[in-house]
Amino acid sequence: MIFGEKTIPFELKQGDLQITVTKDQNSFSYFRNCNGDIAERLILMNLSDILIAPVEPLNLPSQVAAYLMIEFGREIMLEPDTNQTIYLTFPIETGVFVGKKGKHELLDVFTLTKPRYTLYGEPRNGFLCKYWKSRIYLEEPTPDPMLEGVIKLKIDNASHEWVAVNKALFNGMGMKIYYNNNCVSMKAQMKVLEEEAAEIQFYSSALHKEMKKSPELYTLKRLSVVSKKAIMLEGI
Amino acid sequence: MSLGNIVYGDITILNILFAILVFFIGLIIAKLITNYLRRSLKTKLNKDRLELIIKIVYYLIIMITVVWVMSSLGIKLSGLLLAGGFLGIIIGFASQSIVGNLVSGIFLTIEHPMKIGNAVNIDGTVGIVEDINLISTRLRTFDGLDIRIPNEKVFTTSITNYVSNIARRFEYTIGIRYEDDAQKAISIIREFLDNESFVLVNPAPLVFVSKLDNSSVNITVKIWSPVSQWYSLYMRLLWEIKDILEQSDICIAFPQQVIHFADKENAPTVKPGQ
Repeated sequence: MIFGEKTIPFELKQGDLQITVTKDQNSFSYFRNCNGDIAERLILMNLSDILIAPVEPLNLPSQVAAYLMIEFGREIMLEPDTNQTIYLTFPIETGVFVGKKGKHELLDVFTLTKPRYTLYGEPRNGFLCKYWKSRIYLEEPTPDPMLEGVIKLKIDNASHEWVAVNKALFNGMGMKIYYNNNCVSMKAQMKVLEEEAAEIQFYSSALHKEMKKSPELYTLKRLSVVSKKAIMLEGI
Repeated sequence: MSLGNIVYGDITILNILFAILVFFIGLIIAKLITNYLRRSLKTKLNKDRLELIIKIVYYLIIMITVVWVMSSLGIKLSGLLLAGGFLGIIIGFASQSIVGNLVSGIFLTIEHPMKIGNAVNIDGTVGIVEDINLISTRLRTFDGLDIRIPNEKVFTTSITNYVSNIARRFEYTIGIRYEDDAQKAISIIREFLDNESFVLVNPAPLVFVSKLDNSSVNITVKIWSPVSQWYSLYMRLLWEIKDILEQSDICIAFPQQVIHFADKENAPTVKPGQ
């Protein structure tokens, strides 16, 4: 399994992915080849660990979007004042961290998926989002954790009308990703406020016991009040 | 002449020198504080907001210093305001363009049609906004030239901001030969665009036959992309589309003219040698 803490030196090979870390006298060399996309680093540091963990899928190929939009394979119809739980998949981006004593710094990010982007709303005031299309599962799926993670999404129809839901918008700022050897997961709630509006937020809990929490790359850095919810006002 | 000599009222030369010293200390303090603010808030605020805060703090410190210096020199503010009023009228008449620039600068700050770092076109001058002062706006052109435009001109002319929206559209027109299958070409282009990360899924790219031209069937391709990525995409995609079409034996048409001879059937045939 590729995720978890690694002790230098090590080499990992899995399909089209190869990671090699070799130790020199006062430094170590990092080499990664992911589908022909190569990254190399020389780290001038002693006695450090490498942590490989899934990160928010918003970094590649460039950090241009702060949201992940998942379009559903089929439209969901939900009756008034009810809630249902579904499972979706999301793309995996893997972060490689370097550090010691639990303090980790991001060294590299790679993905085996093909990233796409989309616009939610208008160019003037909408959101640029990472795009992913997922089938809807009523029971937990078991995708390849190097390619896809699982979101357990509770959809709560708080309106007094039937609603049709085609997509969900997730804010990168509040993503809580957990992982183990077999699964990468998130848990979230989508509260449908009215026919065209909803808000989505993440839970800080794992899908299964003994899952580890990934480091968060998208934390509040600016001097402004930033909501961790995703507010969908341009259709759901 | 000693430093204790009275210049006017109770004010001595020493008082004036002290006031000048205080003024320069005020300038240094303003500079130090703004430098500290710039360093500490650089990563926490947008550049244009940071510059605005820094300017406000800088001029506030200067203003407090000037008021303090003046009161220490025995200049009463009420008299200064009266004199300032008259002086303002005189300066207003004498320097209308400066006042015009100043007012325009204030309105530009309020209207906020561009931010520092935006790529803009101001009356035909294209560049990155480097600074927006109260009097003028500075642009750095893509050729690396520094251009100062008076705010009055900026305010009264049209401004095109290339990056104010998060996404923008660009288009190509690709002319293929009449004997090529246009529908097949459209499918190939669509499939190619589906594999491009920065071609937005929504709004979806438009690919369609837009004109039956003299020498070619013109296919128009309209693509939305993130505003930060559009130019690199724009520079790259056209040639790649041409390549991918040619791999399927669909070629870009050259200008050509087909000439038909009238009454070709009855035209006399001339045998070689006749």
